[in-house]
Amino acid sequence: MTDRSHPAANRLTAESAEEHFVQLVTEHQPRIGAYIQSLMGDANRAADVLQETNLVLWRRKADYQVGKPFLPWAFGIARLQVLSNLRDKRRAPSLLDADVAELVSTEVETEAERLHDIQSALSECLNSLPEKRRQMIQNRYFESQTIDQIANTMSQGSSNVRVTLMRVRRQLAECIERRLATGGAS
Amino acid sequence: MSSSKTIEELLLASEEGTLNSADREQLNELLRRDPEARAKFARWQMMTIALQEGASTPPKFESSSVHAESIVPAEANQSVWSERQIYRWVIASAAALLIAVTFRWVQLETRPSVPVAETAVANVRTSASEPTSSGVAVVTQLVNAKDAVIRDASGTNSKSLSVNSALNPGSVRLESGWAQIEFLNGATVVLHGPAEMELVSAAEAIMHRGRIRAEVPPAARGFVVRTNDMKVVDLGTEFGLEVSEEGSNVQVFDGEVELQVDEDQPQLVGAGKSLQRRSGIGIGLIDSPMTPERFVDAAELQRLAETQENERYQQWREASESLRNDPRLIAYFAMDSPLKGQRFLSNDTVPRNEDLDGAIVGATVTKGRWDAKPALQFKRPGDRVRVNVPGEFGSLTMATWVRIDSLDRWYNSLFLTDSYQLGEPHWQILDTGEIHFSVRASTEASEDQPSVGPPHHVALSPSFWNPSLSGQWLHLAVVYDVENATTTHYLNGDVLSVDRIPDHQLVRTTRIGMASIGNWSTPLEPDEHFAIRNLNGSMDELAIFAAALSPTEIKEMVEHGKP
Repeated sequence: MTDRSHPAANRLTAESAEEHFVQLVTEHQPRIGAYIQSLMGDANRAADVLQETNLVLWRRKADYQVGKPFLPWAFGIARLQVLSNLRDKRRAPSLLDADVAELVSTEVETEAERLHDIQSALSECLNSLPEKRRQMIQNRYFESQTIDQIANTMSQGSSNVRVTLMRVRRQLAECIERRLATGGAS
Repeated sequence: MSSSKTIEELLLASEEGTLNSADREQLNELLRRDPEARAKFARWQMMTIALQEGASTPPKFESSSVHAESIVPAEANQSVWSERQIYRWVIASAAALLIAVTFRWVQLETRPSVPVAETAVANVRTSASEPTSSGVAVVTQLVNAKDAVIRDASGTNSKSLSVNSALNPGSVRLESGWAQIEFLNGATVVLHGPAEMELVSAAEAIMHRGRIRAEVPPAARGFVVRTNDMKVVDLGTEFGLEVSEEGSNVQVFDGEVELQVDEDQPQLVGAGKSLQRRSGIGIGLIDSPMTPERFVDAAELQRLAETQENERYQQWREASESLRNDPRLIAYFAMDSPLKGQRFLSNDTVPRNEDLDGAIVGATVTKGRWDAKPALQFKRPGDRVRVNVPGEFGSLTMATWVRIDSLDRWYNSLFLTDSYQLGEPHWQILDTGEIHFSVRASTEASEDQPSVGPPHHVALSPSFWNPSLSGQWLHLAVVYDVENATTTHYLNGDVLSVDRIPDHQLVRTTRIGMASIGNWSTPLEPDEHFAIRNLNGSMDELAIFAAALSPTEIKEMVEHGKP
């Protein structure tokens, strides 16, 4: 990304303000995307909502006050888009009911804000996993294998794999929390 | 038994797609009641995303050469490299690798597409996925090359050589014509077919048969070429080597080389010497006549290439001239007029319709498929070409020659209509290398008004991208066929995928309206920027037809237009 230019914040021409805004949206795409996907639980629908959210962010860019934290404002707009999508009666029910999505949105916001730290910590935690367990995570999440496929390769029962997978996830979650608490993630 | 499920079990099932409606109820109930469950839910979801993103893009953690390739400027792709250029390249390679390692996480901040956890996960993944491990050389010129392939060290995979492709250790074969190969240590070799040369490392090759001319600037001293019975160490020079059934012949045109035969002491051979070693036992080196004309050098190859290039360019021009009269064309940007200093992109359909000219925003003029032909480069988030294409259509075909430097964004735009309303097409490439084409099947949603209609149908091609394609001209086409309810993706004239569109999602009337080439813009005002889908690369032709072109027609476009 060597071509990325950082416009000086004090250049107050309309163009540089727009560029700055574009930059903010671009920079925070992963977090906004993760926020939406967590609440939607469905990657395809989440992609649509992200697209719509970006449009609304752009339309409302005048409401955004330079210097104020961008993410909480963007999450607020994303939340409304998620809720309106979930409330749409014509669609198949999503993972969460709209009222539940609204309830958990605070927690999801906290998590999405620290997505970057979670990712750093996660990669270290993955390295500290025993080989077999890491392999299982790799099969399931990197290669999108189904649990049945994994069970076949490992000559185990699917329910065994499910239990192990849940344990590994718990182990990873604890590891991440530990690292984030000690600030040792970077 | 569903009442006994924990939140983790429910979420795991949801990921698997096995969550039934009772489970779903339970999950929602749990979350309503229990704040602890909500915290668990948020953490679980975020970790799943972090894990999945770790795999959503092919690993970009290969050798420095692949990174370097996109950094080497096009003008470095010339016959003889100055020493400075080579240093620049070497430094760029090292820097690219350093950056790749050190700033992986920083990149994550700014690049949505870069997969998460890449560095740490790289060791997990090497066994599973990408074989692209260690580039040692780059193909910089192919002239009249026939059957030019490289076979990997195991001998199981072979792929065609193309200009700018990075080469891993393996065996290069060339039936006829010439290939110029630049080793990463700086040595340039012109290979003259029929030939077979094995790439061992960035500074070593083995000649099995055929002719080479090697140019080795001082920075690349120590470049080694072996044959089955001798070893030539270059000490900063230019030499030719021919291996045939009769034996091996070394000719030194400039500087000197160190020549070692069998286990003998190496001897220095100076400029103007030609030594022949005949096959058979007990026959030493004998002087032989110099035949420099038999060894095409890089400068001569460049001239040959230009001739060939000019022929190809003229051939494309003729095809392009006749294409302009195709009544099925909606818009055609040949990008052949001098683009320099001009901020509009002329629409080249005949009769000329100025209203369909595009407005170039930010994008800069660069070299196209041929030196004489311009192209537009999209780099910065704001770069784009704005067009306005009124009218209603049925089937659509879009075809373009594009050079992708890298897939930086989640969505990397080829051609996107602004607001993506009912009937509007979106053609873009995901960071995974899958081509994404969709036509919106519902009305547009607003903040408080949900959309009406079925969700759009996405025709996703299999992933065609790997980093070795970076910097190469590719022909991409998509055919949206209303009659047959299919979407077909093409790469270089070959079908990548055919996708059937379900009846209820098939949109029969298509529209374009305001749209952007190489980016995505918002619907409000035509000059506003919204830059999160910019292409990182160049485009040098774009044709949009109001019809479904046949596979043969797509193939012909590629044949007439390939660089």
